[in-house]
Amino acid sequence: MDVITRKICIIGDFAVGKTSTVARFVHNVFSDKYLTTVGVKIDTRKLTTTGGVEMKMVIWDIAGTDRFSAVEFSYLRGASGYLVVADGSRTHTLDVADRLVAEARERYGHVPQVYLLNKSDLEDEWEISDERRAKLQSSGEDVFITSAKTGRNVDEAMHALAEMLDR
Amino acid sequence: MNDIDKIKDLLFGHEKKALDAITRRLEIPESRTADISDVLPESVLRSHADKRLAPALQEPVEQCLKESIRRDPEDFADALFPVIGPAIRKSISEALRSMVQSLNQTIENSMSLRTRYQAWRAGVPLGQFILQRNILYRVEEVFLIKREDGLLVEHLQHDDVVSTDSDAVSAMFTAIQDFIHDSFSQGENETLTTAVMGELALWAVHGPKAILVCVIRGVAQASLRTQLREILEQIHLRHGEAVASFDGGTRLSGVTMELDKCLTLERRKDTIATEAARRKLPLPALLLLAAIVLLAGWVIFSRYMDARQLASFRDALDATPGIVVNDIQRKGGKIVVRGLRDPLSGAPSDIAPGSQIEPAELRLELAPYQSLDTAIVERRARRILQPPPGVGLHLEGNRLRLSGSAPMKWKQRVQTLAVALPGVDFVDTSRMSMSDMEVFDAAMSELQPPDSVVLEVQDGVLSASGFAPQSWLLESNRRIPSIVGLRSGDLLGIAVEERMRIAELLSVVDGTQIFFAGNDILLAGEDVVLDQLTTKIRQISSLAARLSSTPQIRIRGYSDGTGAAELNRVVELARADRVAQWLVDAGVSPAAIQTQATGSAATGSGVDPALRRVEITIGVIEVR
Repeated sequence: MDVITRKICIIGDFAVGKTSTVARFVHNVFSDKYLTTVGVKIDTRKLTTTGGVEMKMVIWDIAGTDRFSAVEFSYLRGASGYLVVADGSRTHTLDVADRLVAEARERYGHVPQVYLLNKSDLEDEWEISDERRAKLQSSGEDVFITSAKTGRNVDEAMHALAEMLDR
Repeated sequence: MNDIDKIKDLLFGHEKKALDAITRRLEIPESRTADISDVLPESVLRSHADKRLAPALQEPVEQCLKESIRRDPEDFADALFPVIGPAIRKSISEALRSMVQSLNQTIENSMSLRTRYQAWRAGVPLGQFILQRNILYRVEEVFLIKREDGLLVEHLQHDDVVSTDSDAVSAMFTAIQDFIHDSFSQGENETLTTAVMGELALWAVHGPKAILVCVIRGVAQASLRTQLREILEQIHLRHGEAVASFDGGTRLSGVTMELDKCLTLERRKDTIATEAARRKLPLPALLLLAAIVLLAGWVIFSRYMDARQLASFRDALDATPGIVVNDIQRKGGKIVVRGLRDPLSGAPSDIAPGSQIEPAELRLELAPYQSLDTAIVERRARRILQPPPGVGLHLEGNRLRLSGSAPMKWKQRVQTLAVALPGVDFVDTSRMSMSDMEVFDAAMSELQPPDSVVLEVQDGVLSASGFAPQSWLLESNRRIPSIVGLRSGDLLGIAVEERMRIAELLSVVDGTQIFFAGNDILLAGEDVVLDQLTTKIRQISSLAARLSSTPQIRIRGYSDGTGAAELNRVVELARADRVAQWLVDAGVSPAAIQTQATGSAATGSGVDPALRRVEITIGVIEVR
């Protein structure tokens, strides 16, 4: 059976845990050094959708930024979906994420995406309000509360994106 | 204006004015141009978004460009120059990089004879051959990447290549290319075409829809890029749409076939050998080569034979007395001989046929000189001395030896003439035969005989008669071999003068009798006889000494029979002693004298004065 390949980009602000969140669920081909040098690091993840489709995600982990530069825009080109990551303990990072998504959409149009609100292990410091989350979900976005530390919901989020891409 | 018009004017007068103004504007082209120019930029921008403008403008723009280029190509050349320049530089630097990598190996190989032979067989210059031989590479992996999003359309690799996550590699290549492009490049259309790491190189060929990336081990030829480009062009031609619409789903099998060609692109030592074999010379060329080899062989052979002929001729000339060759060579169909020649030497044209050379082929540039070669000196001597028939003449070192017989006059002339010849310092006529007269003269001058000797030469043989002193005979016998022209001869016919005189003296003195008066008293007058005797004996002694001989004198005493026999013996001995004493007193050696009594008297025979005597006998004996 054929494997379909999809380009996925992880976008989000600095230090929201993009790399560490997906780290344990992906095949690390290149070292993290690329992030600081080239500004992007490629990982892959193979999974099977509920429809039985073998999908290989080529995941472009783009270095954290609050605004895309020309280089980063070029990295986004041709992406089939986004993993949008924000830090649950910092609402500001969700604002940045929204803005990045908006910028990407403006350049390349609408693609499927899931939100990962990260650092669920830091319950005491959680900042993003339920209203904000509900608003996000009501606008049709899939939102996952994830933890890079425990791996909670990360795989689910990736599967959810895969399902969207398989539709 | 009627009512209706008034109502119209009231109701629509304002619009009508506006309509009129618009109509006027439309009727004036200048105002329309101004209007359109106001909205054109915005309009073009918007049209660009819905992608219809470009196809619409394509043809007129192309025509404009063509016309413009046709009219003034220089402007375009100037405009393109900044683009072409870097492209050329890039190409050159790439070629240089390959060259430098090959250089070490090239130097190592450049001395090998085998390499030279292979280059010759392959029919390419040595440098090019070595370069080609050292360009060894293999395309190990090939990626076809969708240009738009970096998705991997297809990836192929050799079985022995360690597998990596090709999708990730493809994405990363795209990312890095974007990164480099956006970070460093200024031109919109510049692309990453080469990346090198040690032995490995990434070569990328860019098409409008896909990028072909090859991982190459080794140093590839620049022509490989052309091959890759052709493959990518084929992919675009046949599967362009499929690639453009590729979404990461089903692999494109047609593309796989095309890409597979990339993996066959390699260059190894064995393939080079095959190429060399393929480039082997075709049959006509081989025949031509054989003809050239034969021709060259014939030329070399004839040159060799020619050189041998010249060498043989030169040897023959060198061996000819009176010719000195400095140089011999073929020139303008002639054999030119330069050197020296004595006029008395053999003519080179006579020698030439011995070396299979026609005398007509010769051009002689020989300066005359006088040779001191033996044969030439002899030839010259004969020419100048004009020897009579039968006279031999030959040179030994600087000595001219003559033989045979010739008149004395000629010989005398030769003595003065010959030494004036170059190469002759002495004349030797000793081997010339001589007349008896000449030999006789030579003998006379050599032996200087006394008058008592008569010499005679007959047929070169010397004989002699007469007498001569012993000393002369001894000396002359020694000298006979020195007599020029004498075949043989001796002096046996000459008597020894001393012996003759001794014999004469002996014939006088031998048997001399001395008479006595009585007892040992000499008869009167006998003393004179004794004196004469002693003189002669002394002469004999002197002559005998010259012959290494000595006289022997025996004195025998006699008596008559008047006395007793005993007494008579005493008297006889006394008489002998008396004479012996006389001789001794006169200087004769006593050792030469022998005395004896004869006892011959018969007793009682009476007085007989004739019996009172001594008798002297003398001989000469050789002293040992």
